[in-house]
Amino acid sequence: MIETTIPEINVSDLMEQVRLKAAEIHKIETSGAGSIAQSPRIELPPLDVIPLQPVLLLPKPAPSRQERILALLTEARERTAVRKWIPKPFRVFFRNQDDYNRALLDGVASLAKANAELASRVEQLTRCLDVEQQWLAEVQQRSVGHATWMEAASRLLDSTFRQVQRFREEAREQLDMATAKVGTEFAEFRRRQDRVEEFARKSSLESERSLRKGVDALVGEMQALQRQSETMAERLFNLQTKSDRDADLREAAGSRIHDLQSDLARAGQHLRNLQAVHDRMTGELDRVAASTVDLRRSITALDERHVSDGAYFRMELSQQASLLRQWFSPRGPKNNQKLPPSRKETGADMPGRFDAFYVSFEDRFRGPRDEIKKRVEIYLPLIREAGAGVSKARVLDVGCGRGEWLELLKEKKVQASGVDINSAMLAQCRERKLQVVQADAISHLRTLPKNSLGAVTGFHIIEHLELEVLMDLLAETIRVLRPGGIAIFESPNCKNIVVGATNFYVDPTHRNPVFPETAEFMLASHGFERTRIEYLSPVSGMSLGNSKELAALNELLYGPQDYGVIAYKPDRK
Amino acid sequence: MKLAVVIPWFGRDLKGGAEQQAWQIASRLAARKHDVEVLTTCCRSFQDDWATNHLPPGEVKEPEGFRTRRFPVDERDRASFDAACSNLLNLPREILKPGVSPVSPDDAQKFVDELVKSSALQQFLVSQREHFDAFIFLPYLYGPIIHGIMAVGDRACLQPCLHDEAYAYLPQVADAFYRAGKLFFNSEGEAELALRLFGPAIATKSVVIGEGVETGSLLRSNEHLEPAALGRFVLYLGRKEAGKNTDLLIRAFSQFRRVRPNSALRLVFAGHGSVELNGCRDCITDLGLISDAQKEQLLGRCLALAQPSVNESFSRAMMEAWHHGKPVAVNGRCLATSIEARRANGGWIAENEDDWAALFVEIDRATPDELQRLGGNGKRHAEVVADWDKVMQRYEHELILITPATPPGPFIRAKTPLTINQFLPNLSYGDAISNEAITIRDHIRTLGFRSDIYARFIDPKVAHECHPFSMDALQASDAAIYHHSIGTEITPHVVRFSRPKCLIYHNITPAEFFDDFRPPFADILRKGREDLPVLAPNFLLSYGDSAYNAQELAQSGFHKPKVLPICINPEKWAFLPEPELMRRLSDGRTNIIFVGRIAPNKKQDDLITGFAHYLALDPTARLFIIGAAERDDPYAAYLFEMITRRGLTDAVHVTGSVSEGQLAAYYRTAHLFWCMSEHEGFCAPLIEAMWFDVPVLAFRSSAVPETLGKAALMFTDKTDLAAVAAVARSLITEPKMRETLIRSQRRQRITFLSTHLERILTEAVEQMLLEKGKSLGSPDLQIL
Repeated sequence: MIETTIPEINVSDLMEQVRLKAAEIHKIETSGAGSIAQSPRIELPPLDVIPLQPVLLLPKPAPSRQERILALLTEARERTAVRKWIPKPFRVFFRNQDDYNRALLDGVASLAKANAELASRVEQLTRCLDVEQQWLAEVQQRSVGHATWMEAASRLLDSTFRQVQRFREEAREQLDMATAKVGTEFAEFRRRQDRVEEFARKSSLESERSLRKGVDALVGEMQALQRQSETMAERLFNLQTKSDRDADLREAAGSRIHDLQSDLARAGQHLRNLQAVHDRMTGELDRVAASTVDLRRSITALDERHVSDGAYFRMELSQQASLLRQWFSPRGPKNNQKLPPSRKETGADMPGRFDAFYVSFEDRFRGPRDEIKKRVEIYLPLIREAGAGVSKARVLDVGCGRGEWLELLKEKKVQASGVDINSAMLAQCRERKLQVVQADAISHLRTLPKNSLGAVTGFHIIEHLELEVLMDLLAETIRVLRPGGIAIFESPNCKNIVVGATNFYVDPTHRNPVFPETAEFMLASHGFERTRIEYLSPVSGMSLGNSKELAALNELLYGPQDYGVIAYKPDRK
Repeated sequence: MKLAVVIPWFGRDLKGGAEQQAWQIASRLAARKHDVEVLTTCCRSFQDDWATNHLPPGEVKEPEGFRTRRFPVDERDRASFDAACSNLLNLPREILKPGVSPVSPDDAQKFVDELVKSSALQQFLVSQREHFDAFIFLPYLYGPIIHGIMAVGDRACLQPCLHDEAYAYLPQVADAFYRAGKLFFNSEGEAELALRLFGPAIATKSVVIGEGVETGSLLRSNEHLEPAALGRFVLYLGRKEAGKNTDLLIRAFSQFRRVRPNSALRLVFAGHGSVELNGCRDCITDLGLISDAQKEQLLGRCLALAQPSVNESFSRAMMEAWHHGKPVAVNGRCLATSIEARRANGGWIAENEDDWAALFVEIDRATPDELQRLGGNGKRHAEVVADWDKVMQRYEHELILITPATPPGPFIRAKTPLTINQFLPNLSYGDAISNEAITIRDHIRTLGFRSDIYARFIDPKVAHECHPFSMDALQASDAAIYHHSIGTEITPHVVRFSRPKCLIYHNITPAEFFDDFRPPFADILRKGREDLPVLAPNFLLSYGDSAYNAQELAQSGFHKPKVLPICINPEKWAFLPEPELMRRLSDGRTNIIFVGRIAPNKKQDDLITGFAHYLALDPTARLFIIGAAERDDPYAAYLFEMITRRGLTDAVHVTGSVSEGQLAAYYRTAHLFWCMSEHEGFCAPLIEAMWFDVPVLAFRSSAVPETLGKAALMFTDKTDLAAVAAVARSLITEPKMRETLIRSQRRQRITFLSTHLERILTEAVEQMLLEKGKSLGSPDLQIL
């Protein structure tokens, strides 16, 4: 049955093992589920009652007509008798034939009557027999039923017997095991005792005394153990006898369980009451907390408004200044004409006059600078791991905006630069001494040699781009990355329906949400590998509840609001 | 050849295995005329503060002929590191499970980020990656190593000095192992441990390189030490600390002294650190730090060496003792030392305190002859594995191999570059046939041809590997390779293609299997088989992916079909399996798996029946039936009904199609791969299971015996499935049998590496081009 090409495996040894194990399987499978409690219950069919014997009215016996016929025959014979003196040959002439005939006819008539009577009796008897037979048939049918019942009963008896036997075996096994355990423990003590004795023998007199004491203690312990083993054996014996009383016990236990159950139910009710009180109190507390949070939030909002208004005016001023500078600079206005012709790119079709608007818009809606910096911190280890941010493998942040990320990178001594089209934002970056270029992202990437960057990042940019432009961006990104280089793009997560249906449209320059898996797919299809999605910034502290059904809804409403897609340029040549 | 050795701390006199080894490697490579540079930090040693620059940065020329270049270390967050580190060190042993990070990703990152680190060194590695032929990194932990390997990619040779500790289970460590181009191990035990931790992806790049031990040359007579005064003694060499298990040694020795109070045997410690002598001052001596010469003298005089540590990847002390012809006692719980001691038969193996105490009795009683015999065994072994010349030869061999070999030149040269394309019905992610197509393409490209893959249906995950099928692409090919099973709409086009072409046959399942479940599909299969003879005359070259398939081709009238086996390279598993699943599966219950589509020929129903018998012996076991099922497939419904009817819903799990990460988790945690299939054209999962060291038990049918080859353990009839279940049980519970089977499987699996496939493929291309040459009268082809 077994075949092997491995010379070291001995098939006959293996088969021997297999036979033993297979036998074990059969034993376990045929003995039912193994334990008495689980053995199948055999149901006996109800017993049929045997029908009563039908009452039969047997016909009376027909009257015997023999005497009358014999009398008639005798009469007929007498009538034909002729005087004896007439010689025999002539006697025939003197016979009285009429009387004889009459008597004979009478006899025949009487016979016929008897015959009719007999026939009717036979008929009646036949009918009786039929009834009787029907009854017998029924009785027999019942007796067959009884036979199957008996068979079932005998099976039940059998299995009960087997169960009893198995129980007895199990008990014996347990007893054996206990005995064996006691035996090994005993042996262990003996071993220890031996060792102690050896110590005792070899050590000096003083230590011998103390050792002796130890030995005594051990012996005492051993005796205790022996006693314990005896009580254990006794307990096992009790257990064995207990099996007889099992049924009664079970019944008693049943009623006890019932009592316990009702007790438990009462306790449960009590707990529920307590829970309700607790819930009410928690609700109160939550409401208090919520109003505190609201208060704090409105204070913060006021603050932020204040700050962002200030920023707006500052930006407006700087924008005006830069426009004036352009106006007055000799090559200013011409410069604009020289911009690359691709107009489809990031906000390139948005005239510079919106720049300040967008900066203050960002200040208002994207969130405070420090918060953003903290949020993007999670990407830092990835940049490090990819070995990016050194002189020959710099980081380029596409659409760097206010430069929170660039600033973080600078603080962490990662070499990076940014590109953005928005002059006002770039002014902010330059204020912070960040290295930035004012250009359209794709045009800028096109100017870079291939395999020249360690990382390309883009936060909240891909949702501003038309599909065609986005594809160009990815194609350029993989080209300029060096092998093993990393690309990171972050974007609003439209799987959160609040983001997808409302918040996304806060920014008027957004085009379409980019579905996370779609973004990942786009990267993969451009040849990136090890792509993955990180979901970020779930709405904290909000939940509809903890139940399983609500989990999906929670995810839809309060799930991650942003996602980052991370991918690497393949490294193998 | 220009080589770099990267190590966090470096110096001639630094103690510690990895540090000594780095010095030896650098100086010996330099002595063999290689250009060697050691890249290290300005931090002085492991014991010093990791954020302090004790030594000046810059380049130093060493008298041994190599250069040492030091880089400043960065400031680090000590508090956060100490917290993360003590958290790791205090983890209970039983939560360490291969493939499962023992701490949260954040904590792991914190730990790795705040190890000794040097951004200057990192920057140097990034920028100089192309200027070195290879970088040897050691040991596996620490920032310069983990981040450095990421920077230089497959030029990295990691010499991990690995042992079984919590750090080794961090995901960042696994990444470093996966990214490195080669792994050099000091001992077989260490390599075995790495396989257990990181799976088969590292199998083909692992090399047991060994480590040399220098001895005897340092004997000088002016050292004042009189080992003779110590009498008869057992020696311990090395740091004295909890991690090295010296406490165990002392406890065991005092137990020994209680049994034999009059024995003259002493225990002698020599090395850094301190020990608590526990009232055994009279019989245990601690010599403290000693010189090399003193060490030589002690080794010469001792009865034996004790090495109780379980954290060893290679024990120098053990090899040194063997070089002196002294037997060694090692800890059975240390894979590296115990495997070595067993192979050498050069000493004893003990695990707990009682064992060690008994072992001291044995040493005390042993006659000089016995000690000499064991020591002699050890000496012979050490002379092979721990001889520096032999070790250095191995280094040279491996380092030359990792520098990219020039690809074999084309044997046929064309005046214009030729295009050999592949055509197949569908390309999907992770499936054996698709992987093979990609391997074939890459190989044809290295031969100097243009080559692409065209498929009718394309899985998005591999979309960048191929193009959609088009007539134009076919017409633009100089030769075509066509993958065939049941015919598809592209078949007639390929048949009409008049230039050289070859067919690779991936088998058609016999229709009978599907008659009961999906008659329309059975008809398609029947038709596919009937069509084979029609295809035969159109393909002069044909391959089956097994001899079994080739034979089917021959029966259908193909001309001398050959065999092109499916290749299975373990590198594709270079990632951590899905952690949550991994954790759930390694809960101690038995896992039995089968991997393959849900299909009647694979006989998953028999598997369920057999497994039901198996449950009688192992009631908590689980069966995972892994593989895609067609939507609303009647056979799958039949299986589900069967599972429910038999009450096996808790024990049998039908997973449906799974991700690569999940599949790897199933393979990594499986105890047995059980195959009941009655028809297989090749059966790649059998080989995959072999790569994960999962024992395979299979029914003998179709191509299965051929795929299992010299590692087959098969059953030949299914009448008594209880007996088959019993075989399964034996394979799971009998360690000897299991080991034997796994050993054979390790020999069998390497026959399906792509290197083997490439040879056959080169021949196929050659054949096609010869054919083309004939048809064109070879005006533009030159055969080399």
